[in-house]
Amino acid sequence: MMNAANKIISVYTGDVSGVCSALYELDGMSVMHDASGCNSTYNTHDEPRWYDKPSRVYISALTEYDAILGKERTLIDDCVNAARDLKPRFIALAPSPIACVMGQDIQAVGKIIEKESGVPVISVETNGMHSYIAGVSEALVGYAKRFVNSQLIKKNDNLTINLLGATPLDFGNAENVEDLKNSFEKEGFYVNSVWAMNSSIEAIDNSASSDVNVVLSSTGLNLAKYFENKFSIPYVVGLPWGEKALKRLSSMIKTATLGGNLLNYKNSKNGDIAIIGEPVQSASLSYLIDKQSQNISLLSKLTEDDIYALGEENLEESLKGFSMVIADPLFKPLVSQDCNFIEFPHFAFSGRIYKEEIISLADDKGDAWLKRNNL
Amino acid sequence: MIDLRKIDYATQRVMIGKADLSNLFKNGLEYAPPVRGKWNIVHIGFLIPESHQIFVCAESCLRGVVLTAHEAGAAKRFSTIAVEEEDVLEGDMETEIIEGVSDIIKRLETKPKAILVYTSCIQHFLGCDLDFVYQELKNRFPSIMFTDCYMTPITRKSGITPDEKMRMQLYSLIEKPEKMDTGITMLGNVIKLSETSDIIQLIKKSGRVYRDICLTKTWSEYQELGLSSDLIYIDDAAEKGAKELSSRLGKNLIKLITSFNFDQIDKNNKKLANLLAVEDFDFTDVKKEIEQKANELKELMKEWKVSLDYTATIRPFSLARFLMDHGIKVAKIYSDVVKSFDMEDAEYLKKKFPDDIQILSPSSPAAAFMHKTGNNILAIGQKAAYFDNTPFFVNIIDDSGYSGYGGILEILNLMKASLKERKNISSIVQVKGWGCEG
Repeated sequence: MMNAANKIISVYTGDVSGVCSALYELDGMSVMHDASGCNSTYNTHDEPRWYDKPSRVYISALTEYDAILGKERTLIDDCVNAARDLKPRFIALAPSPIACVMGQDIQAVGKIIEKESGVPVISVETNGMHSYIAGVSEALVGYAKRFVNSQLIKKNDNLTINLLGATPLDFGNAENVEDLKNSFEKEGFYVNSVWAMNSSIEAIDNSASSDVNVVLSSTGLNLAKYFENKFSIPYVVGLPWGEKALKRLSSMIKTATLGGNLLNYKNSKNGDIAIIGEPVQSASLSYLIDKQSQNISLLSKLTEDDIYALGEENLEESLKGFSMVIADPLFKPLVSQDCNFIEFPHFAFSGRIYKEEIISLADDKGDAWLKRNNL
Repeated sequence: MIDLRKIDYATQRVMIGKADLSNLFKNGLEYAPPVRGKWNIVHIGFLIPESHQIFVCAESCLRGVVLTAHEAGAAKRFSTIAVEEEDVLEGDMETEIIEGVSDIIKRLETKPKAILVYTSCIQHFLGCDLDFVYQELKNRFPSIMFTDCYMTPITRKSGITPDEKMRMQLYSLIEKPEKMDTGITMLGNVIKLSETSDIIQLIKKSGRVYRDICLTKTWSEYQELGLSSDLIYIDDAAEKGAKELSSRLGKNLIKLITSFNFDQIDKNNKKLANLLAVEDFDFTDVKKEIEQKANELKELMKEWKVSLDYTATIRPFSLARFLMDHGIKVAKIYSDVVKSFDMEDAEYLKKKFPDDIQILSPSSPAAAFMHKTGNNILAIGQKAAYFDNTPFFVNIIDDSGYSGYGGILEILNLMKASLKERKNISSIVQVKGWGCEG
């Protein structure tokens, strides 16, 4: 069994795109250090904001000669020149597989660019061989280390929260993220910031003033841990998908203020419903469905109960015996015809193909989705 | 929120009179607009009937090509092998490819006639022994033909480009036939020629068989491309592949490079007519019609300007020269470079219209903030339409099969029609590989 060979299914967004997606709305300049044209994957398949909302996301257009000769000066000069013309708040570097093979010291390159341009540089250790979760995670933590300080500016008397790990890769569009924010506000929380969509830069940079962090996807988990270590902010993990989940998360947030991190989760090893996807979404979907279900992921495990499938054939094997599968439509070829397949599009897997069908399940919308699917 | 007032566009545009045509813009970071009509190596590979593609690269590189295949409705003809960190560290890339391809072939319900294995930059930097890989695959699967294809964008600016290499490999599976006929095979096109194009008109007149990979539906039709005694090509990107095939099969090869210049078109037509032994060809009527239509457009477009880009035609400067010489004002050309075969026309424009035409780099960093609405702009090409945010545009890619006098007339007709028709820019220009159905 070849774990790396996929006969038919898609692949998840890579780490380099994850960096660009995470930092898209933060007024910086993200540079994929890769060959000319490689940015088209991100622009076309990983970034739904590209047409309507301009951002500074570029490719270094690495050439064969520069790669062989190790000419890091080209990258440095190009970044410094572009920063002079475009005035970004920061520069993020996301290296490619070739930069990895070259053994390029991206941290050192970043320091030189910062010194020569006067613009803060966030160097993220990507190599194109990991999923977007690693890229988004590292980029968000990298940004927090540079821009979030400990000045406690209390914005509101209500319990204040940050939402961590929101990108179009997991939530499709800004409206779906806004729905999540509105759900928490309905419960009386003040949502200080959303990392990193639909939030002002001032709010993002002031995140250390919040009482609790809510992790919306696996991409926000490392950031939550960073905030916990650095600013002693506890976190809870889960999505308010369905009214019951919203109430439970609301209670967990209040509990978390007393200390400790909490995870809203449901999984059963013997379930006959399989849910494939990003682990926090799958966990939240399990909770919403409230039946015997099993979370399966090609990305990572949230708990020990999750199944981590290594590749297409392994996943196909794991899916045998389930009466229902909930997953992105591009997983359908792996599911037997007698199995009930419920489409749950995930932008990080199928890109823009099912973009219009990525829906919000926040609050009562989750319950409506359950009814529509007779669950 | 980005403050657009702070953006400096100076390095991103130049008036043609002041341009260094052989070095228009400085190299640097690159931007890509959300305009996707041009075909990529996946779309082009699908032109080989009954073939299957397998890409071997890192996950982030696979993402774009696998979704290209899905969007083209051709996921069943496409598979992937992800290169992981262990493969790089352990140095067993050859095994990874051989076992991965073998595994996929075993799992395919229908065995393809041919498999296109695309390797990427990483295999080349790691010194992967691809000769060994292909030989082993041929030994394991003797009934399947294999060809080496490449997704190596790092070579874009050195040696043979990935686009040229793809157009070469497209014909690499054609076997040398025992006999040949008097047919004519077109090489390197990804979109079939229009029936009105001069080439088709002349070949029809000669009664000889015309063949083009764009017209093939089966493996045997693909093999018949090798039956023709004469090969032709019109796109410079096809030249290296065309030479390789003509040399391998021992065929006559003729270059009929696309142009909007009447003298060049006459030369092309005469060259083809001589080959075909067609004597009674006459394009006088269509030339008259072109003049009439151009005059009509000139009147209609008194208050309009044209912007055009390098994706619309392989000869943007030649097209601009034709339009300017016919009184149709071209204000902008979006192109990062002037290709050598378009240089004469660019120099002509520089000399004759130094202050009329601006050349803009579609890939420079500041281009990210260039998406602005202009009034009374007719765009030719998707990138021009996007940057000028104009719904009035001619939606053509790489000339879209319009060639010779017949092609010019078609484009003029499209321009006229586009002046009245508001197109939905975003829903058109974001479609990848315009017209490709896998």
